[in-house]
Amino acid sequence: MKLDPSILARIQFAFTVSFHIIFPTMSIGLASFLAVIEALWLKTKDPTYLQIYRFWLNIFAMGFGIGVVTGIVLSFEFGLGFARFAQMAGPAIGPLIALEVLTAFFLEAGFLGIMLFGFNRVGPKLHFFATCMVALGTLLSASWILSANSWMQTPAGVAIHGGQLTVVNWRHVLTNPSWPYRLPHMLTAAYLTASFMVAGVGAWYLLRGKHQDFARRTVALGTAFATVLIAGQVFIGDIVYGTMLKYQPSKMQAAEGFWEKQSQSPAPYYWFIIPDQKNQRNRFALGTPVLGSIWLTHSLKGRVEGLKNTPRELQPRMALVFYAFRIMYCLAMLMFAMGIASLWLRLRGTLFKSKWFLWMLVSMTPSGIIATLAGWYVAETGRQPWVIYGILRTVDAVSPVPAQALLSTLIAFVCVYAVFITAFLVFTFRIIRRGPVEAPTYAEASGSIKNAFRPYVLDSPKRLADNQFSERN
Amino acid sequence: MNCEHEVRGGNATDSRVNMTSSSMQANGDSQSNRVLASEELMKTSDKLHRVHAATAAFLGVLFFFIIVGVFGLPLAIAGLAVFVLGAIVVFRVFPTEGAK
Repeated sequence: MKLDPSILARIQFAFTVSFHIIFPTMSIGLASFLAVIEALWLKTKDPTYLQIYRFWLNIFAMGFGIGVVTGIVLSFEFGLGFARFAQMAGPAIGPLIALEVLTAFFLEAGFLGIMLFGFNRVGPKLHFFATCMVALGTLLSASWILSANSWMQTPAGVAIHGGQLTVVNWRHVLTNPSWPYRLPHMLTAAYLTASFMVAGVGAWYLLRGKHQDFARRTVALGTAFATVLIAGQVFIGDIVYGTMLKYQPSKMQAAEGFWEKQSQSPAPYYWFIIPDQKNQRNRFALGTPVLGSIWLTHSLKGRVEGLKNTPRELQPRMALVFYAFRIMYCLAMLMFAMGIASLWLRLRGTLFKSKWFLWMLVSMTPSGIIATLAGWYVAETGRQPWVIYGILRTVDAVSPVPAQALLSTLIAFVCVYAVFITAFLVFTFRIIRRGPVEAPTYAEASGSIKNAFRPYVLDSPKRLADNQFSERN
Repeated sequence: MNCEHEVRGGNATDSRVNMTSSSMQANGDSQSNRVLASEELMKTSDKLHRVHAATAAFLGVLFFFIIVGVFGLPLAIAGLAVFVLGAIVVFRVFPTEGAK
C-alpha cells in the first residue's frame, strides 16, 4: 500500500491540533472564571467562593499543563511536517508566535506558580493579581494565535517576491480582516465552555444531593454567564459568517450544502444532506423550507450561492464543512435554549429543582468543547485546498518527509496523547467525585511581597500547627 | 349505616369512633369539594405553566432571530442589548431562588 505523505502530514496535524485546542479552550475560560470567583470572594468573603476557586483551580492546572505540552508539538510540526509553509510564511507567522511566547507565556509562567501554590504564601490581593495575570496571559496567547491563524485565512500586509513572503505592513498582518471578529468568537467560545463545565458539574452534585451550597452557586453562576455569553456568541457568529462569506465564499457555500450557483427561491435550510462531490449534487437533502432565505440572506425570498461558484479544484470537501458547521450551530441553538430555560426557571424559582434541566446541564458539560472543535473544523477544512488562502496550497506546503516517518510519529502521538487524555479524565473525574474540599475562610498573609517571604506566611496555619505538633513529639 | 372506625394505639374499648351516615356524607361532600377545587387549581396552574413555557419559548425564538441579524444589524445590536440587560435584571432580582 502506497501512503501519501501530504495526507499523513495533514492527519497528523489535524489530530495534534484537535487534541491541543481542547485544553487552551478550557484554560482560557477557566482562568477568567477563576479571576471572577476570586474577585467575588475578596468582595464578599463568602467561603463558598473560595471553595469553588480551589475546586476548579485543580482542573484548570491539569488542563493548562497539557495545553502547554501539546502546544509545543505544533510549533515543531510546522517545521517537520510543513517545512515549505514554514519557509514561505515564516516572516509573517514566526514573529507572531515569538510574540506569544514573549508576552503571554512569560506572563503566565511568572504568575502561574503563585496562582497554583501561593494561597498560603502570599496575601489574597497579590494572589488575585496573579490569577488576573494568568487570565490575561491566556487571553494574550489566544490573541496572537488567532492573529496568525486569521492571517492564514485572510492574508494581508504581505508581498511575494520570488516565492518568498515579505511583510510590507505589520499592522495589516496583525489586524487582518477576519481577526477582529474571529478573536471575540474564540474567546466567547472558551468562556462558554467554562460556563457549561461549571454549571454541569454543579448540576451533577444537585442531582446527587451533595455539596448543595457549592452546587447551587456554581449552577447559578454557570447558567448566568452562559446565558449572556451565548447571546453574544450568536451575534458575533453572524458577523463572522458575513466576513467569511466576503473573504472565503467557498467555505460558506460548502457550509450551507447548496451546489447550484443560485439556490431556489425561497431557499430551504438544510439539516441533513448526503453530498456527492464528484457529481456536484446532493444525493439526499432534508431541510426546513424558507428558513435558509431568512437566516442566510435575511429576506423571505433570497437565494443562496452554491459551491459550483468555486472552481472544482478549489472547492473544500462539502461533507466535512457542512457537518462541522451544523454541529456547531445546533449546539449554539441548544445553548441559547438552555439560557432561555434558565431565565424562565429563575423567574419561577425552580432553577435548582427542575430535574430535566439539571440533567440537560449535565449532558451539556462538554458542549463547549465539542462546539469549539466543530468551529475549528469549519475554519480549517473550509479553507482547503489552501493553507494560506489564495497564496499557498496545502499539498505544496508539505515537507519532503517519507510517509513511513510521518506514519510512525502519528502512531507515537496517538499513543502518548491517549495517556494524556486518560490521565486528565481519570484525575478530573476523581476530583469531581471527591467534591470540593473544605477551604479555610481566612486570609493568611498580609498581601505584600516583602511579607510574603517571611516564614510565618510561608505556610498555612494548619500546616504550622502540624509542624508544632510534630516538633513537640 | 354505622361505620366503625378503630383508632390504633388507643384504648381498645374506648377508642371506637362511631360515625353516622349523615355526618359521613357531609364530611365526604366537603372533602370531594376540596379535591375538586384543588384539581381545578392544578389544572389552572398547569395551563398557566404551559402558557408561561410557550411565552418563554416564543420570546427565545424571537430573540434568537433578532440577534442572529434576520431583521438587520441595528436591530440585532438593540436585541442583544435588551436580552443582556433583561437577563441581568432577572439575575439580580432572583439571585438566590430556592437557595435554602
